[in-house]
Amino acid sequence: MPAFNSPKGFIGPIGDDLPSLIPIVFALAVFFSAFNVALENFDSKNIGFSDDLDALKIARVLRSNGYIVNYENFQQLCNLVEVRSVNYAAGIAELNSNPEDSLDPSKPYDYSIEGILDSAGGSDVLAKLFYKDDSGKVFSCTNLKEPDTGLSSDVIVGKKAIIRVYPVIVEKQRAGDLGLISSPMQLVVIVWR
Amino acid sequence: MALNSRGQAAVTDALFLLVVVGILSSSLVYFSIQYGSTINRYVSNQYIVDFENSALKTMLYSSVPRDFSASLYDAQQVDYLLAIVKEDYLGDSKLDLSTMTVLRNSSKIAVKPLASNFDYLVFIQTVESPSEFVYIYLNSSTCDIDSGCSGTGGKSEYYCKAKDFENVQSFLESVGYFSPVVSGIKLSKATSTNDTEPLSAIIELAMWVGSPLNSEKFLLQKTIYLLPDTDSLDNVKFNDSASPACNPDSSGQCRGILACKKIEP
Repeated sequence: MPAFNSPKGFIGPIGDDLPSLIPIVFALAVFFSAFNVALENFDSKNIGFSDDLDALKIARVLRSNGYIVNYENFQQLCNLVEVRSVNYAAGIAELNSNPEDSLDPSKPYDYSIEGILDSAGGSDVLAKLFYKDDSGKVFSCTNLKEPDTGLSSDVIVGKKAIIRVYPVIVEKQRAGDLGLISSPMQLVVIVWR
Repeated sequence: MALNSRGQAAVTDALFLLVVVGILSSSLVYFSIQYGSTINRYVSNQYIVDFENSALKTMLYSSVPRDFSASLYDAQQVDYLLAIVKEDYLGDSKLDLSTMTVLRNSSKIAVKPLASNFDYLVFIQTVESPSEFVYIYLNSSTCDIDSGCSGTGGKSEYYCKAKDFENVQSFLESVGYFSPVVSGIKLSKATSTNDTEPLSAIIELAMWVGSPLNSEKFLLQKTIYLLPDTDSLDNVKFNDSASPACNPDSSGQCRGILACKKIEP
């Protein structure tokens, strides 16, 4: 009759603590899951900040004093860019998709990188994105070996590329012998991994 | 009996551990989500400041036709906008409407990439005593008051006048977080002996996330006075206690207010 007090239910020092092991294991699982989530969050944010800072760094080098005299001047600045941890494509572009609207203050900004890349269809993307001077030189700067395959609208959307745009002055030759003008344009910097 | 008691204590300890670990884990996740918000703000702010610096330079060094009616690509003579501003100011120590229009258009072109999301104020102020405003231009969002400012509004442009820098500063503080960038420029003014003397001035561009001027926020704070269509900016009197531009303080002294007149398209 001493069933309740008999040592029958006793299944050893560990066995007796089995019910308490369930919350302990659960607590450990919760802790390590939270730790993992936090670590991944820190990592992804750090990568984002690093990319942001790289974009600022590239832009500061290429903008220099904000006044670009000619293609050679831009290429000199491009050679000073020392960023290896990310892919980037940068260049000078008109402020509007129709160049004639660029100097019209009433025309809203409508330069769409994604739209241009979509319509380019993977051929000659840099020439379509950026400004080409009278001698056909494209004001672009990139660390991609194959820009046509490396830069597409998937990069902008899928890889969440960082895009930074800055107004700059570029000297342009006018038709005939009317001389140079300093024209407002934009420096576009695209950075992704 | 002794065995049963020990078993219950172990389960209670484990439950306490679970609660403590739960609190720690949620704190860890919370802090990881919060992590970087300061850096993020710093990076965004750096971008806006860099953008504004570029925009100021782009405005001032843009070519402008000497004959304002001509196209930039066809004009026989062009000059930097800054040179035209200096030349105009030298004549009568103020800017003509045509120069103000060119300056306004130039700022609209320079700020184009961010103009849809940001409002901005550009002003030129002489720094030597007595300091005075040469030009104040405001480009701001507007909204339809009838729809409770919930609909999408457009942009409105204003030329403004201020009694002193405090008026401009009060307005900028009322817009929320703003990023100002200042650049020094040199103007010249004519002396009584028909000589010219240099005059130091600043040009400032301040940008902030678009916020309609006719929204409740501005109406309550009273940091800007929008002139009725029939009024002229030239008639604004900051020291007349009967004028809305007086904006008296508690002792009845006129503090002044940023008074703006909408530019009709």
